[in-house]
Amino acid sequence: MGLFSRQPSDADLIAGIQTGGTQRRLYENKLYEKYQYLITDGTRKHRLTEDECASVYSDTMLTAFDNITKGQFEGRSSLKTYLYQIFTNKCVDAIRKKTTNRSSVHDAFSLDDSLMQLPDESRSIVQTLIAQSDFERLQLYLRELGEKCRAMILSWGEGYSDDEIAQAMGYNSAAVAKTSRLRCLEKLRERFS
Amino acid sequence: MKTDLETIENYLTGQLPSDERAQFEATLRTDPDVANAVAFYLMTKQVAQDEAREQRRTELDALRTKNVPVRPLWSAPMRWAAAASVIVLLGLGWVFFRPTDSTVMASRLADEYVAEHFRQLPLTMGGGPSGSSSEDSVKTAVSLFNDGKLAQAELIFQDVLTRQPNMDSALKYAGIVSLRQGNYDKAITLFHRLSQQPDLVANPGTFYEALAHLKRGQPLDKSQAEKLLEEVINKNLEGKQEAEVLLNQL
Repeated sequence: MGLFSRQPSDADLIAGIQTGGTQRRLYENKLYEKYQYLITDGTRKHRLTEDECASVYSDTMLTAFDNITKGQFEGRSSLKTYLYQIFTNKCVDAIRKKTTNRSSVHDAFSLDDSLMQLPDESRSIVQTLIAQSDFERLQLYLRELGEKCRAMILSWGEGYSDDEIAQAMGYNSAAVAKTSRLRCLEKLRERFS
Repeated sequence: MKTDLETIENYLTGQLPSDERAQFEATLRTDPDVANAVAFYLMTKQVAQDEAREQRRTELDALRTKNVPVRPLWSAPMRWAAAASVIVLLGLGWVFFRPTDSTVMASRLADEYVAEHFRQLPLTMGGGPSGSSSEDSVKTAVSLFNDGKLAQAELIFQDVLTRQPNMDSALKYAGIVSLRQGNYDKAITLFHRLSQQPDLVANPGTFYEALAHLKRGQPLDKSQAEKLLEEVINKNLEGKQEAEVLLNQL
């Protein structure tokens, strides 16, 4: 662990994640490692096993990565406090789930905000169509796509821009990456319809 | 073609001009094919997001198993017992501990190689004429590297490569510095250039390039690393034995 593991500051980690591209994942992993002790703290403070706490911690980190990438972490509190707050809330959710056998409201399927961009009347039509669709089949077809197509669509799902996808996957430009990505989506649509 | 995914994406990301936007919205209200296409686009994005999140979660879980935190409340005998257990288990083979996620596992394998081979560099090797200024610079940079002054060593290697772009030892060591600094893109470029140098008795460029891909861990890096490792084995290049071990464990 020693070689690559200097302890970076929170500001460095945030900047590294927000830089995106090839550095994003590296800094996300460093952030994960830096606050990993929360798992041990969680097992002491909450009635959760280490595995349950680790799962909650991973969830916390995924939420934090997302918020940092989208600029939704505004730095009103320190990153440590922010993470602690998310982690504690998620622990409470996990305890509730365990004791009442009910999922948290956060587990509900939530569509991308882009749905909100549709005009009201169209939105309800599209929402109905989505509700009637077979997500599991779409998920299965996505998994069966070629490795490159799948990797590209997942990167897009993870919020990487076409420019970042182009850099990571060796395309000449963002435009070429976008064309390839849309072609992959088209392939998936043909299969799904 | 209002059902083409590019138009839909441009609409949803606010990139359509206002007149086309209005026209698209009018069609969306009346044409079920367009509504279906929009539904497909949004669903796929959500499914891709969920899949990516799940994949990332697996990677993070594997990262945890790699760095199990120390429990400070353990008593000294417990710590000794744990340490002894770890040694015994390591003796039985690290295979029992390796994480199941292949990307993180690949990075870990590369880490082990880097930790073993790239902590200290030999001062005796050289790729230029003996006693030349480039050779001296490389030795100076190697000393700095061995003292942990990676940034200073990098500057000197770069300077040497400006003067002698094909000097194999400078390419190799500059690549190693980049790898140690976590600058994998640069390491890959330098090792690739090294691998293209002809007439070397032993050229580890391809093997090192594979290591840098394993460390970078982008979507296609693992398969690229595997191809390079196979090339090392098939062409009997420097690092063949290690490549065989790595390939077996990937």
